[in-house]
Amino acid sequence: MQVDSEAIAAASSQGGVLRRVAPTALAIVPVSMLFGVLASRADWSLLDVVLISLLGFSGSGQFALLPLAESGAGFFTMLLITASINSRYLPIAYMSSRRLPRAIGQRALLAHMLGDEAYATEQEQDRPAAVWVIRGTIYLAWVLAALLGALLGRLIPTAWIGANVNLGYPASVVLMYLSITQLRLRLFEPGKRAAQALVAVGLCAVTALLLIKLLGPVYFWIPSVLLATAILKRAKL
Amino acid sequence: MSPAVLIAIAALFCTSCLVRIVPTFVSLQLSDRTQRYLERILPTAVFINFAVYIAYSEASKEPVAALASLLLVGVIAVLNVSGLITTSLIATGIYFLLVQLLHR
Repeated sequence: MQVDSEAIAAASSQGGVLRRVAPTALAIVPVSMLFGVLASRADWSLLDVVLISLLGFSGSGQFALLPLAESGAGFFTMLLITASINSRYLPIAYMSSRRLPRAIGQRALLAHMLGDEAYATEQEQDRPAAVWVIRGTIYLAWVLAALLGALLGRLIPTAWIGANVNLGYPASVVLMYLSITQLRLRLFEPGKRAAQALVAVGLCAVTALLLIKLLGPVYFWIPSVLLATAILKRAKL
Repeated sequence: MSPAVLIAIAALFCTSCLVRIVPTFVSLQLSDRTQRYLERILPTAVFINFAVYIAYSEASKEPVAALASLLLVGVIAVLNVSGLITTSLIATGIYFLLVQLLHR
């Protein structure tokens, strides 16, 4: 018990939180840089890139808007698409709101800085100070990397940016690792029925895959998360 | 700044307000059952969907390399045998190695 509380205290200290968030912040750098490079190639100014990273702060949303802005899509079309892509944040933002400070401005700012990676890095017992460090580090890394990407996009020749290099892969690995770790901590604690949990997770995964095939990777989120909660609830996990 | 870019920035900022900021100011009186649902079941459902979405997205680009690499990440994370940095380096290295080998 004492070891557990010591481990939690160590992970919650400023250094511990920084150590926790550093790999994630590093992993998102190539993704954001890629956005900066592509935006720069699409004639976006450095200010445009910095502003959308600061005010939008959404990888999938930013990448989706690049061609839409070029094609002259309207505000509501863009809003509908980005809101659909980012609708997964609704439950995540609500669930993690108890970790945020009460002051309205700070609460709103930290809520805006919520991302998939931050949510997966944070822990239930994290205090607002830890949330500041986690979300602030990832947010800053995102914005600065986009700016760096935009600068590089102006300097490096087009041929150097290989079309087949998947720069976003490290970020996918990090998110996968964090997601599986969270699942292990939630589902496979000692005393829990591991076989039942495995079957339920498998069923949720197959359902998600079918919904991706049926609705596409943008619109599957809400129905898939709702169905998964129904399956997990029925499995009494 | 072109009007199209300005509209894009405004749309993405409004999205952030709608899906990230507004929900943190909504307070609901919750029963124990609902509380358990929000704290345990819903996050679990979200993380399962994250994992499936990542596997699907990456497998649609490089099926063999992505599935082999992500499967390794899954096994390491479940067995808890290695930390995030080491796992990321190994899995990313394997992915790019397999991509190179498969496209020779």
